[in-house]
Amino acid sequence: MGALRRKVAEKLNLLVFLLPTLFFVIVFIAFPVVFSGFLSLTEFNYAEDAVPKFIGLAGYWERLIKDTFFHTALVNQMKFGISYFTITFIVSLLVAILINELNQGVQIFQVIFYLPMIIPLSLVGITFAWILSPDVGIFNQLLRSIGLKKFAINWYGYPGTALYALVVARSWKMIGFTLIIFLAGLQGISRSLREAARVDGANFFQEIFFVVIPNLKPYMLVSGIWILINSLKVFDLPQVVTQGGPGIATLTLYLYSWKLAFERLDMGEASQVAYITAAIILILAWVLNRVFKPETAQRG
Amino acid sequence: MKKFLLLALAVLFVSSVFAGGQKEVKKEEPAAAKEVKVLRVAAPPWIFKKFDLEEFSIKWAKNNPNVKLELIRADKWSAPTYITEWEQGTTPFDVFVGGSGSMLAPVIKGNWTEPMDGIFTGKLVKENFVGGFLAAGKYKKPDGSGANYPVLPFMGEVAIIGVNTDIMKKAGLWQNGKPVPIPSWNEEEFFNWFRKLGKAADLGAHVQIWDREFMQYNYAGPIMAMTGTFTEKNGKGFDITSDAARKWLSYLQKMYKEGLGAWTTSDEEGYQKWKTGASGSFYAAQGHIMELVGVTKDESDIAYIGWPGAEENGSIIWTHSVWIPKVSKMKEVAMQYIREVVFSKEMQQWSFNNYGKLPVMKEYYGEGITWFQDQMPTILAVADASRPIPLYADLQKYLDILVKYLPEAAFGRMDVDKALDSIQKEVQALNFTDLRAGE
Repeated sequence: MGALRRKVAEKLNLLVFLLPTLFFVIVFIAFPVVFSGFLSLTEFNYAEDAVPKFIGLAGYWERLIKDTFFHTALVNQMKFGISYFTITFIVSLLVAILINELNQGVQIFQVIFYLPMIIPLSLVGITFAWILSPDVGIFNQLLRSIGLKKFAINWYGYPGTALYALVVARSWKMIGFTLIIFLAGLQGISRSLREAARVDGANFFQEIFFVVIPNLKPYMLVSGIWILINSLKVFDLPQVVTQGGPGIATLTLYLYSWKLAFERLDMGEASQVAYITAAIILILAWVLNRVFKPETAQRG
Repeated sequence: MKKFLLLALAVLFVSSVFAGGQKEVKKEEPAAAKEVKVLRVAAPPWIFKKFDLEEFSIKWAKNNPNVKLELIRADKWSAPTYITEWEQGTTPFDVFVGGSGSMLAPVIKGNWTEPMDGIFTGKLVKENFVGGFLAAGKYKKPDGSGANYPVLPFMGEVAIIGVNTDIMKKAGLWQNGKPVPIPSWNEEEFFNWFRKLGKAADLGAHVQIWDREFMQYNYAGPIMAMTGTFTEKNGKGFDITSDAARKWLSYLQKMYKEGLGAWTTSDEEGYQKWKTGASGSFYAAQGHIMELVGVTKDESDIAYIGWPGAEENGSIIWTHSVWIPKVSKMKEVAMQYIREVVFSKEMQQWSFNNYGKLPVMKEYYGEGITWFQDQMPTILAVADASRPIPLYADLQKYLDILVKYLPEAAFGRMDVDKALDSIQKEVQALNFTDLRAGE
């Protein structure tokens, strides 16, 4: 009897400790996710409609097939995602390898590259808007001073460059984080492995491709998923710097969802876009997981 | 059991002490304090800056000891975000100072505000308002039974051309102490005027901001000046079919291609360009044009002109309004506050004298205005003949479509006919019911 009472008391204790977290998860995460899922199956402008009107999957059909803004946002998102993923992944990997080859000052470089991470993204946006300002921006001044006046364009004002100017700003901020993940992985690779490769006659590049990179796969998976999620969670930068413009050249899925929710006050349409975005993230994360097979982690 | 009894007694004891204490406080409350009413006034941060709401409210509170005034810096910019609270019968404020037409449209459509029609007495009779500004507050009632004023404009802006006087003088466009106006809409005369100005201006003859907001004024204002209207005859959106519309969009494209038009895609960039003092002219709200004076500290650096025909046909205006949520329990005091503070001559003139925000009462344009006295007749003439942008039921969707094409055409990246035709095709299904009632 005493043992049972102790067990119950223990369970109760656990529950009491878990309650605040459970409350937080249910109220602020689970409920909004479920409710938003419900809203995505309705027609609901919260300033006009008293109650949501159930329409099933018709809203998704409308978004995917007929909504030209959604199509543009999706294409922009893909362009953004591919360029952001490529730049951030490759640059942080290369820089991490270079830093790892240094015998001294690794921590100093880590700090230097990590510093942009502590700057709010909105501030990064404003700073880059100044740097790339067509008339007074330091970047165009530099181009003019070296005789490249014709390249001194309105980077955020031209539809062909605005999105990529945002990619550069975001990559600059985010590279530090993935760089630290890669560095941690690189420093975990046993020296003896690389020495053995060298003894077998491998040059530096062969060492990197055949020893270092295979051992980095688990870290690549973590970084890849993190970069991927970040490449789709694009809201603050375009909202602060371009508001989706010029025209709708920098309209992304998150920004479109926000605009639907808080400019058009259409919670049904906004939820549909949010759910489609979530589905895209899940599919891509699954693909990434397949590419960088987790079993390689055990070998590293 | 003993423990439980002790606990129950303790709870009883504590609650009786508190209950007794409360009664005591009530007994000792002075009679006057009982009548103190709490008035909560909310406004976005920029209103606090550009209207000195704090200073004028403190003065008012001193004269009204029976009212406890609470000023709230509104963190929510979008008025409809309060709807959920109003649905529960509560509101975080009794008066909201601020909100443009498009921002307030859902609140007006939902009938969430207290009609302000009762305020038009004494010095606030309708005839004393600048006509165009007051009209911006008149809306069709949601139930279709006529019109009323669910919000009241307290500040106006008019789209007008500001010219840099130094550059105008260098360009030879200054005569008898006044700017030489743009002669006409004749292509040769029009472009010659801007070419002269462009030669004297390092950063372009004319600045315009082509973002989602200003795009409307840039497009509609000059068409209004040219023809006296800027909407389609059937009321379905802006004029995109007339010769005037094609002409203006072609002019915009040509100005940009010739380097006369220094278009920007963000408002900050536009203000920045104008405030360098190296641009010849700027088409924007007169308050923003005045910001150049904030830099140079010399009001003679700026003069105002209209597009050819604007003084007769008017331009585009927009307003910010003050409003009371219907669920507020302090409506009477709120009305008093609005009348005595928001519409006071001192506060409205303070805002003009410091930030160029136009008063809505005609008489406030006289004594007390410390700068631009000589420009007042031009500004007032244009403002009085002007019209606000209609508040279409689907305005947000409409703007999303316009922003895909109008800036593209203005920047010369899309053929004018293609842009106008594309707009025509895409807006077919939109609801163009104007929520405003007109004058």
